[in-house]
Amino acid sequence: MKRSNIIIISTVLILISWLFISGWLQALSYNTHKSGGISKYTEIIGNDRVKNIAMFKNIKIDFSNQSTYPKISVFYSNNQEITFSKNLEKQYSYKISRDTLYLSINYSHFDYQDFVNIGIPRLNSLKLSSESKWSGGGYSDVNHNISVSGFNANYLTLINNCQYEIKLENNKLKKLELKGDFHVNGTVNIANYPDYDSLDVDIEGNIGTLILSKKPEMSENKKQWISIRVPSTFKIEAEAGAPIWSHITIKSNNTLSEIN
Amino acid sequence: MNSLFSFKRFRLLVYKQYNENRKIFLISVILMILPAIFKRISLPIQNQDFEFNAFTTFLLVIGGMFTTMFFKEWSYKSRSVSLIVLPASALEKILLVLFYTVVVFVPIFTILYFGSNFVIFKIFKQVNYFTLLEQYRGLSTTPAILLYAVLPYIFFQSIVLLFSVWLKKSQTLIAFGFIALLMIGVTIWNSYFIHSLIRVGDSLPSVSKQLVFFPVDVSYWENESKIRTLLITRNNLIMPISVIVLTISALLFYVASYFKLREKEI
Repeated sequence: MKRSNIIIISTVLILISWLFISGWLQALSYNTHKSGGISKYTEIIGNDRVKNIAMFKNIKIDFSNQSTYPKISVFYSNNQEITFSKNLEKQYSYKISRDTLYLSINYSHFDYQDFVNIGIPRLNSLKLSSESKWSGGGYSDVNHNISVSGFNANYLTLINNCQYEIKLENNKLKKLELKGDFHVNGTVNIANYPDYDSLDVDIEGNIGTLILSKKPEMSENKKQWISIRVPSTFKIEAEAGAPIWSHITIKSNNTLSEIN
Repeated sequence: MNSLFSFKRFRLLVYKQYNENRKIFLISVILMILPAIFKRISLPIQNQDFEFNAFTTFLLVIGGMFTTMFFKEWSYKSRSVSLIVLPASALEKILLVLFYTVVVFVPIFTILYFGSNFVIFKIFKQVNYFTLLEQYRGLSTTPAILLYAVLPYIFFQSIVLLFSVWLKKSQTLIAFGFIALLMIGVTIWNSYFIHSLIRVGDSLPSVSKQLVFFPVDVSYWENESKIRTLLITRNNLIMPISVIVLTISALLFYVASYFKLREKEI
């Protein structure tokens, strides 16, 4: 037999044998994890629960009395689905009624890697509510925030009745309507605000922060219509000299600060 | 003069190959940019796994096609003579292919792929789920690319090279067919054999073992009514052995290619 053929046959045999043996070993490791045991050699590097659900266009998220929250991402996706991290099991419930997703989160077992990912092709409104007495201002973690991203649509209504940090980024909307009481120290960060042709902000609460930011290279949207009505003690952060400052209606003793 | 390997001869061979195939190299560069455009237009759903799978798949397919180009002369009797009488040893010819398809191709493809993706993200102002550059499955960028893209590529490319040298006709088709057969075989094995090991009550988890592209991870999907549980495990015993087996297999396929070429020349 030719030397080359000997090498090929022995390599293929070794390779196929290993592919099959390693599959069997992996299955044994999986069984160890499944039965609650700890495998000496195997670590789980991904463990998500994915749910395929009925269509919805509106989202209402209720947080119970809790000081922290998992990272929540609502993002544009062709396929609609919700993914929860494994640790969140039994810490959430949801139902879909008509075209609205009602998601309740009762978060007590904190894990830095916890997340809720909601992919949706069309989002009309997002309402966040909290019954918590905790102040959002005391809790800050770059890994944990609520983000709404990737939507290129006609309009979106965001109602924020909670104390957490909500970030709108990489959206391009004809109209954004922002309402809510911001509970205690809630924050909404509208990144790249010139990407919203119409910006209608009407805040009812007392303490909270609205951040309007844009990348330095981004130019102002000349056809942008802005109306910002904020209550007293409310804080607005934006670039010094930005056109939005002239569109703010102060309901009563308001505090404004400029980012330089 | 060393008949097995001479740096001077090898250098001249590299120049010769470049001068004769400059147009093909240029087309290859354009081909390397196309995947990013195609992916952005036709496949708008992105996540990290999808992005990495797309990168590896395009690397393998374009790299595989690029590899078969070097021995395409085998298919034509008159041209195959010119390949055989080329004043270079079999080792130099094999190393020439490795130089262009591994040393040159992999870094250029990686840079062009990520670069064109980055530009398209900027142009269309899309949401950037391309977090590969930060971390992938618990590994930083370089080890992730080496383990999940370069290693499968070298393994895949060594098989394509072997078939390119070995066969006279339909090298690409047979090489890709063999790899597909290997992947399907492993998947069927997992589906039938491993199912019996990981049966959970009445439900049968579906198993997809990514041993050809991703040699170290196994993903399990359990169907419990409408819930799927994805469990990806990395086995710290199997991983290094898989890496060693795949690396040695690739090296042996390269050696086999060398001997096949020598046999043909004789």
